[in-house]
Amino acid sequence: MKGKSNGGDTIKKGFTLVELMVSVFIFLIIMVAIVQIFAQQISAYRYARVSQSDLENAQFAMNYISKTLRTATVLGEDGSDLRDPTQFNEDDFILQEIETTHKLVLYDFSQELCMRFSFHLGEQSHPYPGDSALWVESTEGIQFDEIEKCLLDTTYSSNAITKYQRLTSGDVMGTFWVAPTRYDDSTGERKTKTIGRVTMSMTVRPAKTDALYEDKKDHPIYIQTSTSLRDYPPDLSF
Amino acid sequence: MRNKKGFSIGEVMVAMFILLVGIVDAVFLTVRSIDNMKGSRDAVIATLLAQEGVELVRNVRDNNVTQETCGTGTERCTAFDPESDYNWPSYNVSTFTSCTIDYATSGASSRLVCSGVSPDDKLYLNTETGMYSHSGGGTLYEDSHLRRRIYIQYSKTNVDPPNDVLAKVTSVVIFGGQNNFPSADNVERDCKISQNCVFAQTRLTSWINYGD
Repeated sequence: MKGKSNGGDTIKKGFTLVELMVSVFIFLIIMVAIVQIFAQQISAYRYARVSQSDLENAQFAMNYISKTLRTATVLGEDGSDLRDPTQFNEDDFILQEIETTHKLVLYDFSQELCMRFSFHLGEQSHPYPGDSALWVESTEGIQFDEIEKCLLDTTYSSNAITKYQRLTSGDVMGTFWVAPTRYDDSTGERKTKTIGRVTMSMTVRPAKTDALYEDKKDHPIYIQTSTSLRDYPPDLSF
Repeated sequence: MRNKKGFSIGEVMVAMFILLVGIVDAVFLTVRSIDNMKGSRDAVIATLLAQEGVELVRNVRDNNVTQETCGTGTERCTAFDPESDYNWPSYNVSTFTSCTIDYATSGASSRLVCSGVSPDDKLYLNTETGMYSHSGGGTLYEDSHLRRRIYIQYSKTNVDPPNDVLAKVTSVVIFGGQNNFPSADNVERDCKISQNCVFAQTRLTSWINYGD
């Protein structure tokens, strides 16, 4: 600046109020847009991390069931023996959906234990009672000749050493499609009718207590796999 | 005369350009890292479905031998019997057979579908039940952008079936916009996770041959 000079020229120094306001306004708009983009990205990043960990747990649960099935046989769902040759046409391959109010029942030869898997809400004492999850119950010390006991609720409730465990994290629902291995003993000679398999499907959502839940509940992650049973009856060998 | 002092338009543009490059880079980086995570999520889904393919084929093999009569005949079925109720591709010495298989076919047992040049290998998601299968159509199903194909290839070419033959079963799943399956001869080489392709593979024996 040259300082005051002759002749009434206006001398400007700095910005006028209007200029300042306009520039602050423009700056604000740009910043708000940038912050919004970043907030979005951070939330997406957080969802990716949360869902990745929930997904890995669900995958682990599926692998766990598959491995258990290697040394186990499927009986059916709680209260109903799907192997029963008198109840179904014996030659039929019975593939049945185990609905979420029911449980998939297994008998593990390798450890002489009954096991059942089901999807349901947590107990009130559980840290996340509002979230559905895959649960497993098991009861030890069941001999093979009393295998039908695995189908009864009392076997699990009366046994002091029943283990009850949650296998997944987040909010997880799912279904099992089950075909047990079925055979006919009625002629005194065992005849295998069908070799069974289990298809498992899960829908994985963030925990309901997580702020992400509302946003993502309609777009869950769907996973699915199947396992063919290895409980070959003795007539299927040389 | 007015005495102005400030930035020239050139200076302002350079400054804005630098600022923009910085912001765009940062956004681009985060988008990329989230895309990568999405890719690894798809890989988990695809891997489980590839394993399912192998298991379902094994289940068909197992159920073939439990059938007491085969097709119109009176003999028992063999493990790789094309006449079995559960299906198996005809013995083909010169090349592989390309098939599809579902966790369920009309609520009963799975069957291999190998007829036709290219069976529909798209997997559709039933949004009500959450199940993936090859049956689609209607508003209930949405395209999952996953595709699964089963290659069956016999490892012995100089023996008549059904004796003493190994079947190499390869279940390939492609995802995330990938539309080209690797050819059966090159799955091990060409099916890479970076190409949005995963596979599971097993060798099945012809197992029990009644009356041999």
